[in-house]
Amino acid sequence: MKFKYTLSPNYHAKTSTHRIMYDVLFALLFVCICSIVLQYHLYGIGGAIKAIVIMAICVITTNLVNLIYWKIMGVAMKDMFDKIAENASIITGLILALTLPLGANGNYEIFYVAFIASIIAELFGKLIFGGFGCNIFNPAGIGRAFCLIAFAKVLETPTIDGLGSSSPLLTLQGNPNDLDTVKQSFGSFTDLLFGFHQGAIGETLIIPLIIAAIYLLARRVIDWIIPVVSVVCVGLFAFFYSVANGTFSIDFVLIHLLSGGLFFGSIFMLTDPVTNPNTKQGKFIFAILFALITFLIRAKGNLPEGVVFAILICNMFVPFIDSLTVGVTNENTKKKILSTSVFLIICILLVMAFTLVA
Amino acid sequence: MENKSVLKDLKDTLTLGMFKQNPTFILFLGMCPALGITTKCVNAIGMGAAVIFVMFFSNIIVSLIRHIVMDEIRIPVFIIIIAALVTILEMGMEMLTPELYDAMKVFIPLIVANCIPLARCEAFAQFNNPFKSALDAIGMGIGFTIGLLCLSFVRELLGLGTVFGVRIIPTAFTIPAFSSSCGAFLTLAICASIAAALVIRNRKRAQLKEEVV
Amino acid sequence: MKIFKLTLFLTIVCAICAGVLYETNVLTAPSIAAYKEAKTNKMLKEMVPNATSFKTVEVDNTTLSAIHEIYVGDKQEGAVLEINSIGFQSELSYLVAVIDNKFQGFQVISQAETAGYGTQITEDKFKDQFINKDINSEIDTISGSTITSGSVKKGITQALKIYENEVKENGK
Repeated sequence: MKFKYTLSPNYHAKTSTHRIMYDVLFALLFVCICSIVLQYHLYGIGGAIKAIVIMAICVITTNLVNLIYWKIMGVAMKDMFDKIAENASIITGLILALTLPLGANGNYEIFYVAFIASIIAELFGKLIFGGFGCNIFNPAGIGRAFCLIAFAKVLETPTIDGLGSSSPLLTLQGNPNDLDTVKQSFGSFTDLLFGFHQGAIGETLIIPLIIAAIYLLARRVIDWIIPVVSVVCVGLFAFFYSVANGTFSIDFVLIHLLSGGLFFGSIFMLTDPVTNPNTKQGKFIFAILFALITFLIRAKGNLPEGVVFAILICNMFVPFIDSLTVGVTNENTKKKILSTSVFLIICILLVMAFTLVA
Repeated sequence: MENKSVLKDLKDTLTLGMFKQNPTFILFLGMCPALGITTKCVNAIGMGAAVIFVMFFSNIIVSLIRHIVMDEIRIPVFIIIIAALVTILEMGMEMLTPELYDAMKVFIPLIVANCIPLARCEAFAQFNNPFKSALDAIGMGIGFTIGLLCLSFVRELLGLGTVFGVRIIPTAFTIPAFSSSCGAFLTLAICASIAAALVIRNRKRAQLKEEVV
Repeated sequence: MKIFKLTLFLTIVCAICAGVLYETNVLTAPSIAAYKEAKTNKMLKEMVPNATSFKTVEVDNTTLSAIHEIYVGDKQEGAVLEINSIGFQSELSYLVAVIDNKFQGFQVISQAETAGYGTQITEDKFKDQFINKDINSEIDTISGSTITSGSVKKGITQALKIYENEVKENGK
């Protein structure tokens, strides 16, 4: 008999960080290609080229920042390729690129925005903390939040005046009670599903995002809890908010569900395994909290789109959620379900209470 | 021999606050003006000059009365002296340089809460003669100004595109976030980490020198 | 005994400081007041170039703090209202010229709003609407800085009401 002696860990399955990252990259590339096709359909060849250039700038810049940073830290040139590949900076770059809009027609400021945002995202989101696996916040989220603070004008101007002059959520913020005006800005609900309206280049195509999500779930790269629970909860909160407000209509719920970065954020940014809670119950709480903060920022906050800041805030809460849920034994399943449901009910009551706030 | 060491002692007192114990990046004192006022380089110079003025006189006065002041009551007395000096400075600025006063109106009263004058009174002026206290005040004030200048240089260059009003970067390429508090925290973090890296490098060099000797 | 000595010492220090401050105030107060008046006059003259003099009437109100009556020669032509209101993140202080039931100018005295958004109230695009505009017509707010420009609009509407009451009371 031949015995193989190997050192632990003795895993022989092919699951490794590398394989997971390759799957995520594949799904992202699929979404990128769909987005380029969509921009071509909406804005012609100019729009498609703009989208490609934005993605290229983001990916190249994140890798460059990695190169310079590790050079300063003293990594030898021959190890550099492995080091950069390990940091998965291409994924950060692509996710950041997909959250940016195309900017005004004929205006190229968006390229500068993409450049600066990639530097900030990679440097302050990942490298400062120690590289891949050590970051607290989602790096693309930090880059996008910085864009919101620094370059809000560039991001908000519509690409073509008149083609649904601004994104649905922006119109909704301006007219919170007038759903007809909002509906005019994007045509019909099938338009929303396929993304025929203004918005970030990766956020508007709902159907391709769902296909990518199914692929990732089938490959067991992400777990089903976070995307499903966060989307369902945003729908729940929108439903109860409109009921408490008195202006109930199924359109309000659908608009909140299908516009903005909700699907993209919950599939690609929230499920980042580095910044997730570790336990199942933790993930439920994480997703419910994300849905709560997103909806409240959209409904009552100053900003039209709450997904990015909600992601960052929930990342902050992850160690706290972990301290509450890790270590509880499996025998308390009933107690876990009960406590999570109570949390959900408290959130719903909170959302309904917010209708009383001016 | 004695003259040399006395002179060296005075020189050390003067230069201590400038780099080795820079109040902004190493001692982390006076954060409020460092974050709030450094949007333009002129503000940094103005604030630095105001703080040097206040610290110079407060250190000398505290050092003169250091044998009379009773121990239990020293902190209120120091604060009263510093607050009176700041009010005199405020009135003087309003009369002599009204435009600069308008720009810095909110931050001058904050010099009282700025920890640097109180910290130097408490840690140094209490125990040393007026001449050395004055040197320490000047050194710490200059160090504070250097810290503010570093911060405001970066923030003005990236946020407004100018340095001391001279345009360097065209307006389209400026990043307005650096003029707000978000950029202030980022810049402070980077400058403080560079300062810490320099301190560690100097310490390592000093260790190597000792080992060789 | 110790307490008595401590209190006495603290009182003496306070008294000395207060005395020095009083002297400084006496020295500097006239120059400061003169500078403030010169600054307000400069702003008023910029807004209404053909006025020969202004008479300032203090008003006891949080929104409308002063009415600067415009005099061309000996005739009163209108007034510049000095208005304060709370903006998005700071207190706004601005002047609005009202001549012959029309707005004839708008100038911001002080503000500390968000750069690029609230600071748009200092730009010509917002200020130009106040030239030759009927005081009963609606003031346009700026999209993207709703709170700041809305506060300006509310402040002007309120101040106009108070000003009209004052004019009626004084029977001018």
